[in-house]
Amino acid sequence: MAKNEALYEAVLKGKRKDVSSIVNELVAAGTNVEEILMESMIPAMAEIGDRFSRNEAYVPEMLIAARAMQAGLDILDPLLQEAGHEPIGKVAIGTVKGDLHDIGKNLVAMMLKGAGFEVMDLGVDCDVDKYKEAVDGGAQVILLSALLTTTMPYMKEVIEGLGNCGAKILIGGAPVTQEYADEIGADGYSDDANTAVKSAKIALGLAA
Amino acid sequence: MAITFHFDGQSTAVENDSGLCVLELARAAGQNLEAKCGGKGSCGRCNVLLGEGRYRVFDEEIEVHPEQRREVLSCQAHVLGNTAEIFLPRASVISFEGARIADEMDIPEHTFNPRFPSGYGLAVDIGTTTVVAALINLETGGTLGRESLYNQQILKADDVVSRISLCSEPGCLETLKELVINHTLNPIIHKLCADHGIDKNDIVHLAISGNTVMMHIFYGVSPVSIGVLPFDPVSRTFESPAGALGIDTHPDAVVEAIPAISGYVGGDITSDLHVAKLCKQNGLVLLVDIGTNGEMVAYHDDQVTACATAAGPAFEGAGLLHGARAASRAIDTIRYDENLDFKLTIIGDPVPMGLCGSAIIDFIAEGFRCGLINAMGRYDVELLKEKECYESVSGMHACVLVPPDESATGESITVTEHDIAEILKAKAAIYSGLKTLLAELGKTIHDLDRVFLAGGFAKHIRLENAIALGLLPDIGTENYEVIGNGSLAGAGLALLDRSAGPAYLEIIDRPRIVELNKTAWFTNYFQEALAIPNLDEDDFPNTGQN
Repeated sequence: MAKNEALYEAVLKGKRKDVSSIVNELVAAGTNVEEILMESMIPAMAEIGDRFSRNEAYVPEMLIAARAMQAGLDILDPLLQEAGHEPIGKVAIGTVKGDLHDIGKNLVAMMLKGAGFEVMDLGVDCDVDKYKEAVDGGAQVILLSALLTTTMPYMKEVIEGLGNCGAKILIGGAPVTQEYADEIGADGYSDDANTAVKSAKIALGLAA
Repeated sequence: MAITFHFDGQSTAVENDSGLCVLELARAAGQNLEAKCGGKGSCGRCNVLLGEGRYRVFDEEIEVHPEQRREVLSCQAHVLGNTAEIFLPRASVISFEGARIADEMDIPEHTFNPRFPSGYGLAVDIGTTTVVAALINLETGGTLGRESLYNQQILKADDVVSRISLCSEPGCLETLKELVINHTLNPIIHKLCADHGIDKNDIVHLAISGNTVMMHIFYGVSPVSIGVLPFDPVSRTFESPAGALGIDTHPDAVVEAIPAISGYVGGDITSDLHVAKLCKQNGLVLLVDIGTNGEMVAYHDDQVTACATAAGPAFEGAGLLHGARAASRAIDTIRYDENLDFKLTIIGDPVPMGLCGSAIIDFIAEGFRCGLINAMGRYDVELLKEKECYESVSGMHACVLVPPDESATGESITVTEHDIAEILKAKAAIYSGLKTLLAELGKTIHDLDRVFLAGGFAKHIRLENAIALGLLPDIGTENYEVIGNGSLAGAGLALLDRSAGPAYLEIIDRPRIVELNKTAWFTNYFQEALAIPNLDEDDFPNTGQN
């Protein structure tokens, strides 16, 4: 059971305005901000992810829930920082050079935030240097996204460019397959936003 | 000793060729399988069932015993040895029969002043999926007839982006060019000439309209630069003699392309704009061409914005469990209420095999109206069960439209919640694209005066249902104008009126291309548009909520 059932339901159902107002009320009432995040909002995102894996929720619902989650995080993020909240890991995600698609990438980013990661969103059209900067900035996992068969080959250049940087590299996007991940030497691959969270946890030894 | 393909109660045998994958062997046996990704093993559409035989699938060698079946991607499987039994599921086979021919070419009023005043001309619309041509008498201006065929490039890859990536492989550009000219356009020309008793050498002028990638391939120019940022074409205009392209008309016939606006907004849209006279309208007007790529253009007070969105092939029936192209045996309209007593119409043959895009729009809109489907695209499962229309398909809730004994496949025809989700993503791409274009002009949906719909698909949808779904703006059906195949009409005009050419060249520099993903609005509009009809309810004041 979630600590705050109304907040949990609002995230799950994607009611963005309700999420904002409940979070604001809780903050005003002096509720612990980590507790708001960890015990109501994150369980809601975990639930939508599980429903997705069970074919009980689909991408539109996930996107709408993620949008509501973001509304809550917009309020909580600065407060969490003040409170010295420690994320479970630091990851960076970006769409590769030549490609402007970001809806899928944003969903993965949101699911990662929803799982307690600190997420550096590198945006779209990212060249090798952009990913290098993220590694230098402390990212432990780098996630590459591509939606076009024409831009997917750039993933190989990123992996070659990063070399043995110490960070794990995960790839995903509509045309990407496990075979392609193996071929270019990526550390992992996911077909959807929910398994991307699991892959990131596995990459950091947080799950098996 | 041969490889036998079984499909629909019939079998065809071919000799093995170790260089060919099962997908290509099937093609040699006369069965064209779906291969959206161009045989890269990523789209998962070309499944076949392997029966007795030895195979290599990816890098693994397998043996299938009699009575066993192994489901694999045909583009990743090779036959080892000389005998094999292979079964083709209906969903993997492309149906070429009974495609809806573009049954009209509404050429707007014009001055009859052809560039070539004698002989015959051919107006051609090269779609990603369908090619349509009209034969025109250049002395009288009359249209003799029209003919259409699927663009045979779909055998290699379904969508524009997959075709671009194919072109980066050696020899593939030439192959795609041959598929569209030798195997699509030339057969159409032969048919038209035979039907109307004319000599192909009397065809002296061809006008070709299509998206920018199709035009590059048609003229043998690599489109790879359109595949990555900044998506620039090699050229926006093309002209060549027919003989040099391998087109079977008079070899010196002039083949001119309708000029393109940008890499993703092609000459087909230039044609649409000219035919709809969009930039001569008063108020705020919008043109939407719904296809695999949804292109749209907004015009207001001398300002023009344009964009393309990747709606995907769901509206053409692809990617849906029981989706079908708009051809014979496809369900094309559906009406029902809370009793779930489905009233269907079917194209051609009365025994249905699946549903096409117009039917799925009807299904979701009616379902939302009567409470079967909620705003998130989920079923009222209790209602489905109560009316005995429920089925669980791979763990997904599904609604049974046609029971097994009434369908052509012997399986029930269903719509799953996953199918609904696919349509919601496609319609969200179109709606958020057009809303973003308006925002770029400083306008909203409420400022919109008129909408022009182009493309074959738009002719066959029930507008009130497309609005109820949230695909198109809720501005009242009386404010819509369906112009049909504007791309073909624009090509026709280029043959009939020599002033059309300069007008096209003037049009193509007017729109400002909007890269949706770079705008501040698109992502939010897209997410809002995923719900039925939209999370921003102010946009849909007239839509009946259940």
